[in-house]
Amino acid sequence: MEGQMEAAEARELAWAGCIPAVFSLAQDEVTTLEPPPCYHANLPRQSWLPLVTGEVVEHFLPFAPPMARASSMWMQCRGEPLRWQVPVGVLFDLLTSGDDQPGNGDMLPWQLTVRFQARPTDQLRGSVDDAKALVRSALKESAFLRCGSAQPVMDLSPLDDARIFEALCSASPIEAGSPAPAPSSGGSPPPLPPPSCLPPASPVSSQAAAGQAASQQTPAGKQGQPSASDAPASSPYEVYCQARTPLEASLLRSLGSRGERAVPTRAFVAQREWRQLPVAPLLPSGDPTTLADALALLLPRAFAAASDAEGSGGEGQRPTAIVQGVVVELNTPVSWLYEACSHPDGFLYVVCLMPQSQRTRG
Amino acid sequence: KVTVTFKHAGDAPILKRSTFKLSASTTIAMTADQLRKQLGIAPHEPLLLYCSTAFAPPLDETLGDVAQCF
Repeated sequence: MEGQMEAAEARELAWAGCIPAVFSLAQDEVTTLEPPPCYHANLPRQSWLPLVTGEVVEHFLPFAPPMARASSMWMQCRGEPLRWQVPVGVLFDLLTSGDDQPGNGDMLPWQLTVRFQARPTDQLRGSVDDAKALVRSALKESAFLRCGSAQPVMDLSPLDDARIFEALCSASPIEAGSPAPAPSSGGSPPPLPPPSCLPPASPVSSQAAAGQAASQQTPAGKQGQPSASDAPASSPYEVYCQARTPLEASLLRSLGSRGERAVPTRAFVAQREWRQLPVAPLLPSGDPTTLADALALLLPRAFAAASDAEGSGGEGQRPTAIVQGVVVELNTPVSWLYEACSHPDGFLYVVCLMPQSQRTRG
Repeated sequence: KVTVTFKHAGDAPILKRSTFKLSASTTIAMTADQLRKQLGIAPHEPLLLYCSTAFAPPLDETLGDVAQCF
């Protein structure tokens, strides 16, 4: 139980993570006498660029070439096009980390260049609807990995779907007072039930999670209605937690007495180099799968080279794993990491920094 | 190699042959391009690929990873 509480605290901290960014229009696309002032914004780590850069588009569009449209906007970081399909925090960690360390203060604020023309042909347009479709699809994918069915996500109510995206579109998801839909009755919002990633060898914690999820579905026990629409919410994060409650409960029902099939994990080495494979929560021996085990499966060449180097006396050859901007010990159980640090699309994103020697070899 | 079976849905054209063996390193985007050529679909026309009739995998995910996951 203590581990679950710590994961909840870590999850709220992850949601609070923001990256200060400054946007500037590419000089060759300025069509006015005076260039536009830069636009400063705090980008939430958990979200996706098209969901949180609407005001950036509105700010720069008047200064852009006449045929420019909001839908044609794309961004660069130090000349490299940004793939909006990757969450903001993961993009930042990928593009600004170096020397085996996550992005440091020298990289803040994050300098981004906005363009409206000459988008590379392999860059997809990224409207708000495109981003929402991507997140919904990824949610179904992660649910399928966890329980073998995407039905829990398909059963999400339109209200809960709207709440999830309202939280993702908010620039300050954990600040109270941000607009939130509907609810009116009293009581404090229920905490998000932890996803049941805990191994089946821990029946107490699994049952506790199931009991917690079941009780949150019927708080008063009178009407038997889910609590998602009853409790008030004062921040987008709390609204998000309420919206996810029925989804997690539905996932638990799909699992029944079985443990989760896999921990949805994506390991990134670069924007276009990433792997996604089913990572079992437990090893065949019954021990919890660690991050090292997961990354050995996802990036076998990098970890095999590291093992060879360590075997021949080399030091510091293991790749560095960064999750939510923090270097994570490789012996961390991947189930706990998922519970604490997964993104709203249901995936745990791990950024792997290769040792300098491997980067040199290419 | 990954064996892929395509099923048409909605008003999508029917393939003459629905099962193919493709390299595991082929991405979903490359697969979609090959399908466009087979079906005669223009680049500006939409073509959506769904896995297990449930979700659309990312375009840069490889068929090998999709097959192992799903």
